[in-house]
Amino acid sequence: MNEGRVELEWRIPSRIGCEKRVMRKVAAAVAGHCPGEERSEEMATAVAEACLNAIEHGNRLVSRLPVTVRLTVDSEKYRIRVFDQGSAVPEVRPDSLTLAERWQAERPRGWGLRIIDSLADRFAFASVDGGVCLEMIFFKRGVEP
Amino acid sequence: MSRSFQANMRTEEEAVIYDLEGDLSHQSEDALYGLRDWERTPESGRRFVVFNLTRVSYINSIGIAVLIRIVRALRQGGCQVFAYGATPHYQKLFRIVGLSEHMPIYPSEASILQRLKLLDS
Repeated sequence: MNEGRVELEWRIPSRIGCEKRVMRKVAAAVAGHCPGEERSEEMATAVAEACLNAIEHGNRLVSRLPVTVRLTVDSEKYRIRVFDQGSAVPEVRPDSLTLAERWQAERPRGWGLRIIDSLADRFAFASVDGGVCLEMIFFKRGVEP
Repeated sequence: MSRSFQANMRTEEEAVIYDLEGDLSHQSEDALYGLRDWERTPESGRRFVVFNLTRVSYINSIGIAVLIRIVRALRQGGCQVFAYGATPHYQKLFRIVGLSEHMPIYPSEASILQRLKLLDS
């Protein structure tokens, strides 16, 4: 670990509900590193949604497949990466559906990425070591995104 | 019903109120859909439905999707839907997904009932 830089990692099985465990740990780590951080709740929610996405779509609910969450904090930003064992990197493109259209869908899902997009300053999927990584960046207060 | 989620119904003046407790997540899906047929007007004839979220500690996109389907069904059945007790953070999530437009969030049950009196008069 470099001076002033924090790197932490957690691993959960691919079971819906386990995302709560890691979101609490991320929130506690952020609070410990930067007391009073106003965006800790947003980060925790984004982590939970990224984990749900990894569990459902990346690891297809196979509980033995792990989801790994890595938090890196430096002087400018919080970088959160969520890794799964999926093979296809989801294409992130501007939402083609309006909110009203999405509301009319029979089973209106897909809100997780919309929430992440709204909460994080940046997010992107990438292929990493044969799996998929969702990276989210939250800049600290006063740092230009 | 899952132990980590409960929904209880009561009536108050012109409203049917659902007190939700626990995680609004995958565990809430069966509990809420099993509670009633959301597209039918309540037998009491009350057309105002209120969700009390005061004791809901965690909401994720799965729970939001459940709530959206229920709110949509209620509105299609001619009901007006309100909620109270959501934290500012969850109110923000509701705005992100457009839920606040269809289910206005009030600070308290009393403020909703006051509003309903005006709507009813």
